[in-house]
Amino acid sequence: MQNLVKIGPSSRWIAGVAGMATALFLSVAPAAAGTREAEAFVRQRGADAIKVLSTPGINDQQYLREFNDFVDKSFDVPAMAQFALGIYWRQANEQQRAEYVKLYKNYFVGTYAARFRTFSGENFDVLGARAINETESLVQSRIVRPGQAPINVEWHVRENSQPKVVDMIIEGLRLGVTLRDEFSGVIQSGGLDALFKALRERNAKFALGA
Amino acid sequence: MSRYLALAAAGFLAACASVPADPIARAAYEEANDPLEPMNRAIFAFNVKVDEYALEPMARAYRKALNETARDGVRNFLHNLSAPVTFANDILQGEFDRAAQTSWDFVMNTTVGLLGFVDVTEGWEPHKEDLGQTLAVWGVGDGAYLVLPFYGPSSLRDAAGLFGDRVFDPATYALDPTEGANFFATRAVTDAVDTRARTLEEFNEIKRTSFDFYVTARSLFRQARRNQIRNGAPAPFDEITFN
Repeated sequence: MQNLVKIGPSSRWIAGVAGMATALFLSVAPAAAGTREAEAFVRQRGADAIKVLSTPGINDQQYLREFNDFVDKSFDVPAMAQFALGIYWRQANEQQRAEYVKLYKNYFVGTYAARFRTFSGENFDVLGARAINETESLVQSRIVRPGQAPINVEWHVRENSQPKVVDMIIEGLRLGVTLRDEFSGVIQSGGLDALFKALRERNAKFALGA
Repeated sequence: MSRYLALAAAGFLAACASVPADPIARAAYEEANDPLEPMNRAIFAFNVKVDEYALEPMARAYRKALNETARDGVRNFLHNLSAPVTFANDILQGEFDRAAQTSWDFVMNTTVGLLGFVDVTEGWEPHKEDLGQTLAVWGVGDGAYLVLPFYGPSSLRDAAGLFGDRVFDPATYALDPTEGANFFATRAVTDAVDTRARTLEEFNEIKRTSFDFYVTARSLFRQARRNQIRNGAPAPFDEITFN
């Protein structure tokens, strides 16, 4: 019924195609090699993640170990942690920073290990990439779920010695920005200690341990 | 008169959070851009109750009562109703291609698409514009964060836009004041139920896992709003770089 009639004035199509061509040109022109690498990296990490999930008869302990390993290979956790602390990173001393990065990692692994394990039958499609600068790219992907709307996820990849994901953008919402705002709220009401306490409580509750 | 003004001013000040003196705390306070936080939190708590006792149950019932195709029809209908306001704001933003798309979709969907229930121009990403977005494109800042009763997260700018948009809505002129009020209220409730029904699981998950639901909602609202204002274009690269 919905596809019964599909009409559009041709000028709209011309404008659309021209717009797409411009977008493509702009995204491919600078640092094309870097974006291709970032794209290949995300595709590879996605395939690896699916391998973790589809290991037959894997128990919780093994799954968590595998997922931890996957996070280490795929994400620059210290960079993500530092970003999420925002201006308070400067205020924290070495000891607090080390403690915080550890808490952040357990929080990140705990959150996504549980969430990721509920996945089944999803398809992970890498759609393309655009360069932010010489070392950073945004890789567009889509998670297609049976019977539900697909989820658009962008991976912010930075390449130092090797590519790593530094942020995820889910339907235009940045994990890093959201956590930075949440953490800032907790710190404003009770200081760094309150944040550490909140993270510890959260981490203790994860069903899969961590 | 001046007595009421003084009273209103006192109420406004009481609703304001105190500005911290410490430079880092102050930077965080300014970044939050929420000087009305105490008042906003009270309204937010009220809205959460409204959601718990009315909106969420209605959304669940709505999802049970209508199948996906019927719900898509309702959403298409609502979207089509907002086309005149979108069209006016497309023009005000100088987005003439998008204005052409909006008007074409509106004419086709209203006629061939049976008053908008069927989206016959599918294949083009539908978009919505409002006066808040237009003001932003013109360079007006967000203004303080504002939580509106029933409506939810907004800002001083967007709340002003909400009232201004009535000027572009044919319903304002086609209906007498009582009918108009009923129409706008019914439309707002249907829209809220439809949106809540489409995001039931996601909304509840965020509510359950957030450190402070109020702060999380503020952050997510702002990010989503900025994406809308940029019409889905990527954020400026100098804002998002990790280097």
